[in-house]
Parts: sequence; C-alpha cells; structure tokens
Amino acid sequence: MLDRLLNTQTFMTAQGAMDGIAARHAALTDNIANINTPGYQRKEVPFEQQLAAARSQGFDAGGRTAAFRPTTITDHSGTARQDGNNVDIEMEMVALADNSLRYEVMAQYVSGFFSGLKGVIQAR
Amino acid sequence: MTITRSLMISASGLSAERARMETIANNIANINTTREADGQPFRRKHVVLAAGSVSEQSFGSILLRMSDNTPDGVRVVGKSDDQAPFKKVHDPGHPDADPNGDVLMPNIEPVMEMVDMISAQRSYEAGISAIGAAKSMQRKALEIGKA
Repeated sequence: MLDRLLNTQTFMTAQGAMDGIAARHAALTDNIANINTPGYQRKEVPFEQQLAAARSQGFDAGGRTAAFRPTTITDHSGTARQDGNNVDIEMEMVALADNSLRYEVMAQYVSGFFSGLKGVIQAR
Repeated sequence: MTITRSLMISASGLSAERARMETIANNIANINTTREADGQPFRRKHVVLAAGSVSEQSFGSILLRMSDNTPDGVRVVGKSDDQAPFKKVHDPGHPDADPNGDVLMPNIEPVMEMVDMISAQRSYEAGISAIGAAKSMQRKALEIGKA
C-alpha cells in the first residue's frame, strides 16, 4: 500500500531532481576549488534531460530511481585565460546560489508530500 | 553521499589556497634573504596545483570514484622555483657584495606577491561560500519529514 503512495511518478521525479541537484553541487564546488588550477576544465551536470527521459520510461520496473544516475560532463569550451582554465568564478557563484535554492524548493516539496501523507494516515 | 563529497572538495580547495598563502608569506618574509643553503639568494617559490582526487578514504567515496572515474577536488603537487633572474643592487657595504660592490637580491616583486595574496584570499572566500551552501542544503534535506 505504502509502495503505491511513495512510488508515484511525481515523488520519484522529485527524488531524482534532488539527486541531480546534489551532483551538480559537487561539480560546482569542484570548479570553485580548482579556480587556480592551470588547464582545469569545468564540470557540469545537465541532469534535467536525463531525468525527463527516465521519467518518460517510467523509471525502472521496480519503480525505483536506480535507472537514473546524473552524469557529470566536462565543458571543453574555450577560455580567455592565459592558464587554459575555463572557470568563471562569477558564473560558478551564481550557479551555486541558484542550485541551493532549487534544492530548498525540492526539499520543501518532498517535505510537503510527507506531511500530506501523514495527514491522510492520521485522518485529520 | 554527494553533499558530503561537495564538502570534501571544498575543503581541498581551501587547503590549496592556504598553501598558496603560506608560500606568499614565505616569499615576502624572504624578500631580503641574500644567502640560502646553496649560497645563492632566495628564489621566489610558487605552488603548483593540479586537479585530482581528494584524499578521502571512506568506502563510499572510493566506490564512487571508481564508478564514475572523475577526479575531484584540487591538490598541491609541489612547489617550484621562479627562474626569473635575481635583481642586482649596488651596495658595497653588504657582506654578500661581489668585488664590484653589487649584491644579488631575491627575484621577488612585492606587488606581484600582494596581487597573488588577494587572489588566494578571494578564492578562499569563494570556497567558504560553497561550504555554507552545501551545509544549508544538507540541513534542508534533514528537515524532510519533520513537519
């Protein structure tokens, strides 16, 4: 019974989004940590399309998000910097702020989902 | 857990920036050192950074590293000497002066060190902000199911 409530598409998507946002956070912190490393190429996690694809396939047969694993890619775009490093600190900091807000939104959503569920269970 | 990994990556960035700061402080402190162990004036040092695995040895992190095979964080590879020529200053009274009264002084430019210092400081601050963001995200995740 609980499985049917917890393994809905929406809930699984929210779960996948949180995984993706956390992976993106790791990539962003990596970029910030390597701001002074010569030749470093920035990383990014464009998980949205991947998540949409996993969602359209109904995730996997067991109804788990295991099929969805956010992949980290390397951005080989050019740079104006002398040391070949293509990290732009302003862009990274803005992306970091944006990313934490997105995580908060998702956390709040999942929290709301659970409190709704709790309300139903307690028949209030 | 990915957010813990973010924290480790940020920490590696902070220690790299601190290593830079220490090297800069060492350069500034030795700005007038005319004699090192090898009899030469002090050579300006700079830190060599490389992208690489953070030295976290937990099972989870090693598994994660093996499965997605991307190096994380930054590490200090070593220090290298700046090969720029020494500065020649005329000071006949100096104990290290040559017969012409010239002294070789370290190849350190105070302005360059100051600029490097600001860069290290700002990068450190960026790392601190990233840690703050990761912490607040983790806290939000812990609040799920509380209300």
